[in-house]
Amino acid sequence: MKRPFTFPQKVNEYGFPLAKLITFKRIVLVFLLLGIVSRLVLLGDRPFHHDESLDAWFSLRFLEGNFGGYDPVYHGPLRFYVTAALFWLFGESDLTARLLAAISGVLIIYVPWFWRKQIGSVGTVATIGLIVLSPSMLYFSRFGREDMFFLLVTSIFVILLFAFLEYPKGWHPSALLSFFVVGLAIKESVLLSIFLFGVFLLLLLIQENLIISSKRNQSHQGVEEQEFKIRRWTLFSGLTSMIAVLFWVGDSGGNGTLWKLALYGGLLLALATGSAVLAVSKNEVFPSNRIFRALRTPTRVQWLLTPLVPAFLFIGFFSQFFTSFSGPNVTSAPHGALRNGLTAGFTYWASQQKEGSRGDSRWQYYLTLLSAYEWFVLFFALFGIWQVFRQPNLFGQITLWWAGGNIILYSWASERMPWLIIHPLFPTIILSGLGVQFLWRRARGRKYRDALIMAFSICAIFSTTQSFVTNYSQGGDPQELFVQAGQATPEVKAWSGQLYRSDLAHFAESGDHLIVLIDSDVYWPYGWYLRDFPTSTYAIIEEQNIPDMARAPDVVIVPYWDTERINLSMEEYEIFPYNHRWWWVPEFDGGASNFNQFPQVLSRWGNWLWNREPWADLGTRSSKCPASLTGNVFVKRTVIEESREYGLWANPQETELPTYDNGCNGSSFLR
Amino acid sequence: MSFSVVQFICVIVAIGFASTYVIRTSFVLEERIVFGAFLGTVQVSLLGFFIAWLTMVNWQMILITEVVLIVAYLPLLVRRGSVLKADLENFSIRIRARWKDPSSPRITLFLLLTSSIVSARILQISFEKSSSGGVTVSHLSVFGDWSAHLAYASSFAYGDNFPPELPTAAGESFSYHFGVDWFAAMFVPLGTDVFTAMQISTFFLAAFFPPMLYLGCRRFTSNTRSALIAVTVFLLSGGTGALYRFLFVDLPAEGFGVLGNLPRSYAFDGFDRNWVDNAVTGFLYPQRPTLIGFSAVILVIVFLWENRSVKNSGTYIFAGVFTGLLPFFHVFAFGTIVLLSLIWAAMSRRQYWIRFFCPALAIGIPIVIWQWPDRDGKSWHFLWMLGKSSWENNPWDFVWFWFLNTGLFIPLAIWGIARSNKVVRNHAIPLFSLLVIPNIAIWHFWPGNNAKYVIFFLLLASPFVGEAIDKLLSRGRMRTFAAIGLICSLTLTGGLDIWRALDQTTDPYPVEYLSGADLSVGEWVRENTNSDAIFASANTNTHPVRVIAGRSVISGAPGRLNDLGKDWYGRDQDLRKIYEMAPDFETTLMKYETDYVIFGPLERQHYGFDNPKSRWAETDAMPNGAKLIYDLGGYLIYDVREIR
Repeated sequence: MKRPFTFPQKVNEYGFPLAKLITFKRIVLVFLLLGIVSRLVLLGDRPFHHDESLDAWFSLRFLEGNFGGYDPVYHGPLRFYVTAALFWLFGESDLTARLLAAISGVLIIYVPWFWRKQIGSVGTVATIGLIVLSPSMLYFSRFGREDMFFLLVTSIFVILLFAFLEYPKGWHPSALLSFFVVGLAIKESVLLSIFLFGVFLLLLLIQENLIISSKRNQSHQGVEEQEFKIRRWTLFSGLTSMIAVLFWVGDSGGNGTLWKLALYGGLLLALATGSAVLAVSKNEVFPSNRIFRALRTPTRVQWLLTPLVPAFLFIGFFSQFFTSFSGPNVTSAPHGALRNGLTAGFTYWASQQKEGSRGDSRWQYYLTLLSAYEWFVLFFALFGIWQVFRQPNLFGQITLWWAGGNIILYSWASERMPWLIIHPLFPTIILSGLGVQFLWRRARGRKYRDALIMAFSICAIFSTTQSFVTNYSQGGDPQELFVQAGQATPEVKAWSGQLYRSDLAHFAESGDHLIVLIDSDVYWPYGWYLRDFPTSTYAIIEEQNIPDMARAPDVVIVPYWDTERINLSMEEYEIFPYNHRWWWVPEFDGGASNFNQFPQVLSRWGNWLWNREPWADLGTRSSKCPASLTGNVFVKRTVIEESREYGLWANPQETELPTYDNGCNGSSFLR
Repeated sequence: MSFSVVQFICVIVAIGFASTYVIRTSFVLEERIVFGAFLGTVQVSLLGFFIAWLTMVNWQMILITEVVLIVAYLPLLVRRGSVLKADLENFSIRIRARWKDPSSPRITLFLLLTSSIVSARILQISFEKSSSGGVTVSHLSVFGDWSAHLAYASSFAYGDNFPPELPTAAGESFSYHFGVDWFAAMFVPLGTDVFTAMQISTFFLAAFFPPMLYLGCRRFTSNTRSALIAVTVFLLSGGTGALYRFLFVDLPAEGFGVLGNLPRSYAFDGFDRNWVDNAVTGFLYPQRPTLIGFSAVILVIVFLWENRSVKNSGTYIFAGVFTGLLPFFHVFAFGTIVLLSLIWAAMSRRQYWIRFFCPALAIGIPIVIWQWPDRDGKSWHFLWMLGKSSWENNPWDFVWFWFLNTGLFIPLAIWGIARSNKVVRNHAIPLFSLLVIPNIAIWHFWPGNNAKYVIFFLLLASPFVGEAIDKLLSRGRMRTFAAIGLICSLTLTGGLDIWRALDQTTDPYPVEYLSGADLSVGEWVRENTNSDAIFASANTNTHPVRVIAGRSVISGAPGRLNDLGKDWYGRDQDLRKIYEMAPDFETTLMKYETDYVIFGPLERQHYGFDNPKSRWAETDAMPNGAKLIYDLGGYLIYDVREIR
């Protein structure tokens, strides 16, 4: 097979001894291996986030045949099925609970390979390298939620969409619909994707019609320039109109949101129709543009068969593989399984827009996170954007639309969580690959290329170091902006281990298991960690249900606000204050109130970038330092003694916690 | 699985892969990888064993082993770089070939993937956490045979068992092919516990076995389909027990729901009518040495077969050395290769066979002598099980015995061999010696062990069965139906047994194997007693002192000691003397240089004590110098060094 790339030859120009060994495929292979190792090594070590533990627990329920069905509050059921299969195969562990995300994170490395002709050889290598090393991509490839899986499915959808528009095949529509269904069975964000790419297709239709209209009576060069101009303006006006529309929609929520978005779509449809009429009037025939060409490719039989596979998948996924057609019967999913699959996600999402923000409330949240962690990607993406606007083609337009549209949509949507960053980031990385390819082509002299390689390498080394720190040495510590309020501290993991050990000693000594009570407010991720704990002695304390303490439970875990409610004979117990979850939500402007404080803000960010030192906001000392939700663990003294006798007591309070300098020293966590 | 474990496995495969370049025989890339997995295991295990003997079992020993072998093979790889490059290029071309293309590596990779999935499932449920904090097991193979293997592996990992002694019979020579258990022990210093070490080592070898068998069968079959049938009929072998017991008893009684909880094994009925178990659940899973033995036999035959026309000396010597090392891993594999190659050598009467036999016998025979049991266990008989268990000594039962245990495998093998070309036929006929031996002799104390010869016949004759069925498949409608029927009859029993092994809740499993208190006492013993300490403990199937601590005991399970030709009865009586405090119990303690006596639930149950504390220790032993050093969770451990 011919190699369509010039990369090896260009590297070989440098003539260093092993240059001949460096080929495009081998570099990609090395990155792929690096990707596998980086995503799998120490995968189970980081304490579980609240959401991770819920996902793992639902997967376990499905495996045990106790899954109630799709409920949009916990997102689509497909990843529960896949994770349950991984549990079946490899056993239930923290590692296997995160394995789906890790596998998706590895597979996504391979996505730019499909676009290597469009990105270029140097750009493809850079894109793959950036995906492998990106702190955010790595972090959420090791995070047991559905986002990386959803991103992988979205990427495949985009691969298929591009292929359908560029090299249409009869099976493409069925595959596109199937991946839409797969996406729907993973997460309701598929609605954003459908809106995004639906608008794109309408804009593309308008653009293609305008191009056809403008072709008459022009020279070849003139036609090309005219085409570029139309493409640029379509892209630009599309993105700006989306911003304007989303400003208009605001947080109206419910039907208001849906109507306004539908009106926007209707307007675009009208414009598309108008442009088609224009094209017909200028050419005197029905315009044969890219979209119509693609739609004409499948035969009638293929069109008839198109909905069958997606429909089969939809019914299979939402009926737990044809075994349960009743829903979980909860407020957010009140209907049967199939109707819930069709409507519950949509309704829930729309209602959430009105409820107000979940997670971070600031619209600039993703832009800040991207700048903090992915400055390297953003820098090269600027060149990619420049290249797309300079010579816009279908691939560049899709990529820029995907990246820009996602930033706009996710910044508008009411839920702003750190894990959502990967959705705008991934296409931005592809843009940066285009940027690198652009720079490589522009830097014609060897000196320029040396300088480019040098600059890229230095930035890559720094970014990789940051990625390593964020993901391994300090992964899960609150000074990382990825650590959102649900992240458990290492003390939770330590207490879970201690409970098992103490139970072993207690059972060996008495033949009975420990009686453990956990307050519902701090139940997760204990719910996952204590999955093998004998359930008969394991209860939840809720506001309406304060259990009878006369039974004198052996261990009670409560948040600080419920400590007073527990009526125990305290002399029997030892109390261990502990940190349950932690977070850091700094002011992105460092709390500055005027421009004169800008150098101080810069210094705080610089300090964070260099050594991950959190800051106390200006003027409000330590008010925004990393903090934790604290609680207390009540343990019977006899249990502690028993565990000590067996050599099975390791005080979880001795777990190492991060320490900080500057304004955040010592005041943030219980020690 | 930790990173160090993954790198260890990668290094093993890499070393084995490199060692395939020692000989001039041309293999394709996937063959070098699959063969390399076993060659690497043998080399890493052996070198590691000697380094551990000189030093101790720790991660540094693993590292030295890896480095020595890498340094040894690196120059070879550089020198054969052009061949390696050609192999890689050849692979990159062949991987694009269609599935039907005989040169396509896809079937090999598919088999590797499938066997990895099946092995991963079977092994991940083999040990699980029990509610007491202990360990449950999910299959008879683990509950039974693995108890001994765990004790052997633990004795190396935790008991510093060098020079090797049988940990289940303190003071006796290690008359067992323990190589694969030592291989498992090598994973312990890399951060795994002994249970995980057993799971990982078994998974690794089991996953590579089906592709190995396929690549071997390809040499003796005309197409990939027959090779695949051969692999299937061997792996799913187990006779025809299910044809009646499943189709006519269990299925009509419980419907298809029975598949969710199969009530019994169909290839094994507790040594009543069925004596040849399924290859996976009766051999590869419980009898761990076969994990290397089966593959080793295929490997040596492939080496010899590929070398039959070029007669390269290096290949004969390499195959000879490899064969000579096999008694360390599987003495039956060694015996099978030597037997078959002696017949082949006698048939060809060529001098080049000397290059094979010299290293094979020079290395192999001393190891066999070292492992030779003290007691003579051989006897002669006629027609194996006839006249034993519930089999009558008559012609009808002879036919029925083989039909029940192997189905139509033997007639199909005869047909397949008869219709193969002369060279293949001449080499295949000696395989029937593996059926003759179990019918005339018992060389291994217990007649059930004769199945170990039959299984080698099934292994080596499977390509001919595959070929025969494949011919039927391609010869018209009725014959196609017959072929499909034959495949079903040959694979249903084994298939159901493997399906059952995938289910962790089939009655009576999972059962608690060790309780939380067992684990605690085992860990305490491991941390607080000398690695060469000898314990008096109940000679039950399992015991934490053997399994968790890896310490030597006076006696392990009597049945297993009998298998190895040890005086299990004398040791059993001595244990009773100790526990019942017979008048000369101090002498018995001294006889085995016993350091500690343990009283736990197993001892209480086994020797019928209600309160061992008052009876044993407080009356006599403690006043005489026994010290109570552990008293937790129902376990008492006495230090008796001062008594003896």
